[in-house]
Amino acid sequence: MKPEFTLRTYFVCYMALIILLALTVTMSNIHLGKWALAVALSIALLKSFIILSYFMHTKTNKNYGLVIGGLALFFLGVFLLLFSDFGMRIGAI
Amino acid sequence: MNNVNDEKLTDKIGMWVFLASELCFLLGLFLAFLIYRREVHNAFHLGASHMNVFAGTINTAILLTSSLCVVSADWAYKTQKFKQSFYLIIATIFLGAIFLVIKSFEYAQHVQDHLLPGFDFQYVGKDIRGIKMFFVLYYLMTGIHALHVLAGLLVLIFIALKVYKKSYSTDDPRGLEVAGLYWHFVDIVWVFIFPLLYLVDRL
Repeated sequence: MKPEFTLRTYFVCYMALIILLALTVTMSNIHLGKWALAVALSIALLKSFIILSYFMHTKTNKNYGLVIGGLALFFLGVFLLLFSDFGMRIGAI
Repeated sequence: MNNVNDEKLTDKIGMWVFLASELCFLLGLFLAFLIYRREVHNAFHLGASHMNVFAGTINTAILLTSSLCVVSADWAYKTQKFKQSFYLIIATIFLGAIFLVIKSFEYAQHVQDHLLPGFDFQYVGKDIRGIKMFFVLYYLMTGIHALHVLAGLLVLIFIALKVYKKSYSTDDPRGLEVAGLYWHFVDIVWVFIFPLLYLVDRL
């Protein structure tokens, strides 16, 4: 069986992940206020996208990609709905 | 031939379904963390100041490297480099074990600082309930993740033996592929845990 990607591709992805890790830590030293969470989660999303696409091979198998994409959107929807509900109940906890 | 392809597809889909169920479970914890963070932000800020960012960064790098090792082991097996594949899985197991050792040192430090809710929690200052909640969620999220790493290590030990005996065909090393999927998932979970617990509320 032919491997999905070359070893070089995996290594480039790994280097990108390490650079993104360094970026995450660097950004945490800058005071971003309420944007800190959005920036940190955006970088984490990018990292997980690289892992899903290349290491988990969803890029070469579009069916898995669709399933994962659908699941991600579904959970994001649930997440946003629940969070917006709590947003309207100030001091709920 | 079709049966073999169907079996392979079933194995992979089975793992994806399992990972989706894991995601449901873990998302609940992430959601709880974000809601409490919003409600008692100052307390979470204080709680995050007790995190060892250096240990967290090293552990993230370790997990990312172990992901590279496991995907390279899959590549090596498919290109008939069996010995290389075996050593790469051993490297993954070694890195996973190092991750757990570093994490246990972090836990030991928190216990020493009396930051173990329910057993030994002593904190002087404001927002004590919020800080306690931060640590409850911290132990839950990182503890469940650590259990997943431990389970992954046991699976990888089994896979390493299979690879050593060349039990899989190079056309279809599905055990290795499916174990790799699980390990990458564990890596992705940590990719989100690390900034949320260690970094976001530092400043």
